[in-house]
Amino acid sequence: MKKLALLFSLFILSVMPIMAQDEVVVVEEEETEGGLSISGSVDTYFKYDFSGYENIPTSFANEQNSVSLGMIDLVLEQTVGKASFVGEISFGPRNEQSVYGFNIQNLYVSYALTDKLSLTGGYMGTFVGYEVISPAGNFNYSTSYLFTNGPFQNAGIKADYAFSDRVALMVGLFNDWNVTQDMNGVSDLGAQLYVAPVIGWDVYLNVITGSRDFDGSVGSTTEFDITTGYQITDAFYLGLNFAKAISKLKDSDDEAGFTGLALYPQYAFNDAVALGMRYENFTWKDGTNYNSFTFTLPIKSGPLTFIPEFRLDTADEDEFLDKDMQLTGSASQFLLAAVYAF
Amino acid sequence: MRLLAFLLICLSHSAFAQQNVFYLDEDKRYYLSEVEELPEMTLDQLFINAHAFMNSIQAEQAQYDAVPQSDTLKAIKTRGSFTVYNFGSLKKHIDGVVSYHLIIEMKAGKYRYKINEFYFTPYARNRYGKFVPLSGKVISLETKPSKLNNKNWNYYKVQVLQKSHQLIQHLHESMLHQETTENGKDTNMEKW
Repeated sequence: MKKLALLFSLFILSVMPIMAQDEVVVVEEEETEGGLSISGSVDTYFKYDFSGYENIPTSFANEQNSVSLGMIDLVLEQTVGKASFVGEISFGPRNEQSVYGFNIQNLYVSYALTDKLSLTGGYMGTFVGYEVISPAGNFNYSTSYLFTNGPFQNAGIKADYAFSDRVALMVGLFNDWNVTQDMNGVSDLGAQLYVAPVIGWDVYLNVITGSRDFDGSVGSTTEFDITTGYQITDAFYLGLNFAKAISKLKDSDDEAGFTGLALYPQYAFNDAVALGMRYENFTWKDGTNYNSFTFTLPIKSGPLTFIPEFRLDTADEDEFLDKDMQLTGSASQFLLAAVYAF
Repeated sequence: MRLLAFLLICLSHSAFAQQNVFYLDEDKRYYLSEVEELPEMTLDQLFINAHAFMNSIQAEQAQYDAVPQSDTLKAIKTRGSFTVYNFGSLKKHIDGVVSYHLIIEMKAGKYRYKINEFYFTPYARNRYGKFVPLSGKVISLETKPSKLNNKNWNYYKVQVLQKSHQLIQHLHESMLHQETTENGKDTNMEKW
């Protein structure tokens, strides 16, 4: 009995320090942090176009009525002092449709000359546009016409200067779009002005201009791009992308190109479920005009995101196929993707 | 023997209580706070030490007028942040930063710290493969996560606690510092 009383007393005394303090929240430890940054993603999808045929001509996720692969993407990143590198390799159909030659999405080194000025050289994801190649970086799983027809990567050397947290400028010399080796020399000039008018609102004004190889014919392309996103409330976000590209063949007065506008309103119900729409209007110069509506409902469970998506595209010319393989002015599809980001 | 067992239990529980709990204030906001007694230290020395501590951590410039001061009470306030990492990977990447307020109040022979106002800013991988802050997203650490995000959120809290206690330990060591002579020798020759 004495022992029991002693044990009881010990228990009471041992919990007293907590009781004497305020109310507390206990947080149980689960794991500790590591070193070199390794991240990436894998993705897979099922797509069904209601015509029964592959129809919508934007990048990735095209295979009809099939459980298909996106890509496995692996990113290594390290910063030591003022120097840093990023190496991103990927394998799969999404990789093959986005890079040429090697399985590399990013491969560059960077050095911070000062707190405000850094130099970067190598092969980098493009600074132009709203959407990116990695499915983990996009809200929608399918991609826009603007993304599909803009640059994917820009290899080159660039200088970034941050005037403040709100204003920054990038200027660089680049290879032709998407190539790791420029056969006609480094000939593209690119620039990006970043402005944050208020906290949560980011505006990027981009331009890239220079020579391009059009299936063996030399020409040039200039693309102007505005990409912006504003977290208007904790739950509501609005993104916008506008771009205009003009291409010319050497020794020709003919111009080609496109103009497009995409809006990305998104509403987060909580930290796991959100609903977003992408509306896009895209026009080829002297060509077809498209309107595209994409409704996406990503559901996150830790690193895994399920992405159900419905998409309806219309065109002012009959460019899509219907069930009878006849040309028609619209196409619709359902898609279910799973993206695991680590 | 019984006394030894008693001390062991009390000590172990006390350590547990300090290392893995947030205290809750009247608004149900997390905080960590403690009074440390240093009877041999003057108010001026504590203030010098607190100032040196503030300069030694990665934080915003310390504020000296954010709290009432007097001849017997001095205080310094700042805002810093902890980096938090993702849960469950073989190797880690940054998932966000948690900012905090730190206030140190000093009287002769003692000081009190308080760490509170924890806000999480999530990071996401950008087009260049680097993790950068998501613009405009700030979430208080007390926010209850959805069931699907519970594990990640808990892991952020674990890391904030660990790093807070490292900060507190560093603070405590800094506050123990005694003024030195020009030769770098300790002026308190009685303690050696």
